Amino acid sequence: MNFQGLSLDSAPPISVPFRFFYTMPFMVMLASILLFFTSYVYLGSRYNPEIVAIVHLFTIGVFAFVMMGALSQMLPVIAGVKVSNSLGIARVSHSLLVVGLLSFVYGFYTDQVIYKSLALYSLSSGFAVLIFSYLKAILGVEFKTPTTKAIRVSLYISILALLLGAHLLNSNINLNISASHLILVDTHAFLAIFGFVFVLIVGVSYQVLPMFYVAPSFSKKFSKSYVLLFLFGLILYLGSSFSTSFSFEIIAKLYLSVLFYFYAYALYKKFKDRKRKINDVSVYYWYIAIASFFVGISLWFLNSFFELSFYIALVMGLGFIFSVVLAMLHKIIPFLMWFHLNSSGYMMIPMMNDYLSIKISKIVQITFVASVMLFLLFDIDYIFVKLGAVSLFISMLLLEINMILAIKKYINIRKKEPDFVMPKA
Amino acid sequence: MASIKGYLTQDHRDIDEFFTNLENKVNEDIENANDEFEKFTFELEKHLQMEEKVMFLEFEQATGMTQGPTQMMRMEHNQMRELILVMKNAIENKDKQAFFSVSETLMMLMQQHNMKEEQMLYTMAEQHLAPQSDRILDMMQSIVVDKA
Repeated sequence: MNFQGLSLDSAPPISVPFRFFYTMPFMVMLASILLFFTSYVYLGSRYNPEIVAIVHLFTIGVFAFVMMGALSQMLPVIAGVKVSNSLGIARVSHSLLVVGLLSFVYGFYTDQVIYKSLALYSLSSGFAVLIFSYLKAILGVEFKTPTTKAIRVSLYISILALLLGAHLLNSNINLNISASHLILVDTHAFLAIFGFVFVLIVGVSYQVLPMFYVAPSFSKKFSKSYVLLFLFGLILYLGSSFSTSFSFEIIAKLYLSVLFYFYAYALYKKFKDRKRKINDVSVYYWYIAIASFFVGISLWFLNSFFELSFYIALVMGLGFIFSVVLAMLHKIIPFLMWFHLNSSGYMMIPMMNDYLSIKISKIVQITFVASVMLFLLFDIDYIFVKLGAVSLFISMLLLEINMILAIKKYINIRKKEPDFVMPKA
Repeated sequence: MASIKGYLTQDHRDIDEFFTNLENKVNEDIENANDEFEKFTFELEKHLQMEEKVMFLEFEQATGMTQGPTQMMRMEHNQMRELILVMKNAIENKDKQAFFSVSETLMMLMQQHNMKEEQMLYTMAEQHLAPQSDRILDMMQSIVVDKA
């Protein structure tokens, strides 16, 4: 058992997760600008290059950045393992991912092979460095829990999603588009969103809900079996993608939908029965996430009969996953600031609620929800997409300002001498 | 045979209950939240001392690890005690905003601390101290709590 993770001295420096967190709003601001200027005709298909670029600003720029950043800090706490050379890994992988993502977006917008190739190598190597260093750490866990097992599964699936993504990009660069290209695109998206992100959310929620909100724990039966049952559904669904049988697809979707509803209901129950009744922005984000998830599951199922892809992306991507990300950020950022300062011997420091301005956080939340609502009206008039993009841009700009104001407080305290020199554990 | 892990884990849950009772009371009526504050701080302090005076010492003796996890846990106990003092001031000054700012911090500190103990330290303790768990539980239950 590696107990080093218990010590702040061995926990990653605060800059490791923060470089990922602080980059995220910039990526969404860029996505908002691109969405604002995207023509209505491009929104018709998720396979359009512009839409592919925008979607990846969310999936990589938000989901992957924040979740991978958060994992670096969570692994020591929830699994008792330390990622070796975490700062070096974060520097390399973050730089590669930022360069890769921006090249990807520029490459798809301008259709220039050189940028797509740069994206291929940068994103593949950036993700590979992160995934394998986390896997190496998590495989060293001695006392396995449903959370550590779920993290492991999600990392394994992320390798598949990465390999498939690299293959698809390579095919696009070489104009070697096979007959099954679009099926592989959907498989890549499903593995990344439901295989990696969803399984990670499930695993982390086992720990985070009781920890952040003093909510009842998930039952042992649930936490031990859910990811396994989901994996079976994932294989079933992927199998159905390559089959021509419509009923096979419906059965697989029905099975997965029931599992999704089951998790959504469990989340709702945990929040409803939580002992800590104090509401803050993060609690509201969770409620938005749960409500969106319920709606998103139904849309996803109905997508076999009607074309609802854009709505699914909005409700599942922004409403569910992005809300969970924002809920987590509003807890993790202030806690890490307080914890790092206090554990370094600073005593007279702001408390958790004093780092991020609550007033700004509320405006961020309102503008974020408004943007999702406006996007959902896109079929009525395209102007709603533009208004939604403006609202999302404002939301992320304010989030970034709020985070910068918080880190300024942190840095100003750090410049002073600590009140005590803490003994090494 | 009773389990050290089971006993201390249940104690964490009970302290959560006292903590949320305190927060709910302050939310409703901070003027009369002293009783809830006293109950919570007593139970928390009792738990910390059960670990520091009994369980950690037994663990260190059994494993020879005196500067490892138990030392880190002691440091976090002291962080909690500092926050309790700030919390006490907030209640005395009837300052709800200050109270919730510190209670949020204390809650996060307690929960992540509990998680590390329950998943790692208690599990380790269980492996090394299981044959003596009845004796250790007796000692923990009969502890006299010193004022922090």
